[in-house]
Amino acid sequence: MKRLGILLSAAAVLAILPGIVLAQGTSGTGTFGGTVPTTFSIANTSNGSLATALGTFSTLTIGRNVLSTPTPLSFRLRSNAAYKLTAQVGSLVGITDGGPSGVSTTLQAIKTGDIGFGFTTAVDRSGLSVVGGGTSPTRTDSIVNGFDVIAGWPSVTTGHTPAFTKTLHDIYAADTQIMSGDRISASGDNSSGDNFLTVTVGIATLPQYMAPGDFSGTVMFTIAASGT
Amino acid sequence: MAHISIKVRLLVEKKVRNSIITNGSIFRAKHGFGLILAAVLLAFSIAAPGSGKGVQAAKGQPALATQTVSFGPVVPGRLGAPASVTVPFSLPISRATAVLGYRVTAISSFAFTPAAPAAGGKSVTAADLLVGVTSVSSTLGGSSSAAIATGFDYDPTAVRAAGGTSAVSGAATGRATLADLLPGREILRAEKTTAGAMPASGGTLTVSVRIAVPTQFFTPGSFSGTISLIASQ
Repeated sequence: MKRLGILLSAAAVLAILPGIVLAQGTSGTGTFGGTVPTTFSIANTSNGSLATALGTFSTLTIGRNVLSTPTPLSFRLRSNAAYKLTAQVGSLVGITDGGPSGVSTTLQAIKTGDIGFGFTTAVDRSGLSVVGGGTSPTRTDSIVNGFDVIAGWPSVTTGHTPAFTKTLHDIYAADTQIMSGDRISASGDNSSGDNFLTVTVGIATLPQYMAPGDFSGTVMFTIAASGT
Repeated sequence: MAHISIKVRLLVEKKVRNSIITNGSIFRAKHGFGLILAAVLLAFSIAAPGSGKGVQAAKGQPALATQTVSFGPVVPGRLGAPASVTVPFSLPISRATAVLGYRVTAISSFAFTPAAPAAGGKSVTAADLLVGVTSVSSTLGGSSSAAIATGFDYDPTAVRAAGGTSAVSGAATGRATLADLLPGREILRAEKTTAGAMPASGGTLTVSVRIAVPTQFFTPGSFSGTISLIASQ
C-alpha cells in the first residue's frame, strides 16, 4: 500500500509537471525610438526647390516716372516651430552695392539702392493645416518694418529713384530678417497642399539715364528657427 | 529480440526499486501529505492549460534579447513615403504548445517628449505609427502555421496618405496602428496541429513586425516605445 501511495504521488507530480511548465511565458520585446527634428522648408509653388528668377526687368526702357515692376516671386514656407525668414543679396554682376542714385552732376550707374525690395502681396495663410490658418486665419506673421509694400510701391514724381522703404542695399551681403512668425505647419509633409504659407516678394526700379549695361544678382532666402 | 527486451525491462524495474529503497524513509514519513499535495497540484495542472496564459518554453532556450531599432530623424519628405523600422522577434515554441495550438499577443507602449511647444500643431502619437506583420515563419515543421490577425496583415510602408498626412487607420480599417496594441491584442494564431515531423524540442517562431510613421511636420521632440510579443495557449 505504501508503495502504491508513493507511486501515486510520483505519478501525480509527473502529471502536474507539464502544467507547471505551461505556466511559463515565451515572449520577446522590441524597443524603438526616433526624433522629430525642428524642420523648416522653403519651396516653390510646385513644392520643388526654389531656384528661379525673383524678377526679370528685361530691357529698362526709360519713360516718365514709371516704375518697372517685374512679376513678383511667390514661394511656400513650412515649419514645425517658430521661424524667421531672412534674405541676402549677393553675386552682383554689372551692378554695385550702394545707396540710391540721387541728383548728381556725375555719371550714375545702377546700384542696389536703386532697386526696391519687399512683400508685394499679403501672406496667404489659408491652408487648412496651417496653425491659426484656414478661411479665417488668426495667426500673425510679422513683416519687418519697411519690407511691406503690399499697399504698393512709392510713387515717382521727380524722375529719380523714389523713396523705397527697403532696397536690395538693405539686404546686401548679410542675412537680413524680413519676416517671422509662429509654427506654420500643423501637420503634413512637403507635398501637402494645405500646410504652408505663401509669400510673395518683388522688386522694382525706375528706368533712368544711367550707364548702359546688363546687371544681375542673387537673392538668397533662408528660413530658420526664430531667435537664432 | 524478445529476450533482449525483457532484460532491459528488468534493469529498469531494478533501478526503480533501488531508488524507492534509497528514499524509502522520506516517503514513509510524508506519505500522507504527499498524496494531498499531489492532489492539489494535480488540480492546478488541469487548470493551467485552460487558463490561456500558459506556454511551454522550448528546452535550452536562452533568455530572449530585447531588439532595439531606431527611426533616426523623421524629416518631412515630399513623396509621402513614411519612415519605417522592422523589429524581428524569435519566440521559442515547444512541441507541446505547437501541438495544442497557440496565439501570439502583442502589447505596446509609446511616449513622446516634446522639444518645442506644440503651438497648435500636431504631435506624433501611437495612432500615427502604422504596425503590420510582414513575415511569419517557424522551424516547427509539420503542418504548423500561424495566421495573422485582421488588420495586421499588411506592409505599413506601402501606405501613402494623400497630402502627406496620417492615413485614417486602425485595425478596424485594415491598417493597424500602435494604438491598437496599447491594451494588448492578438496578432497571430496557430491552430492545433499534429506533431508530425516536428522536432522533439519544439522550434522557433520568427515574426517580423514593421512600424512606419509618415514623415510630417510633427512637433519637434523624441519618441520611443516598445512592442512585446507573448506566445500563449
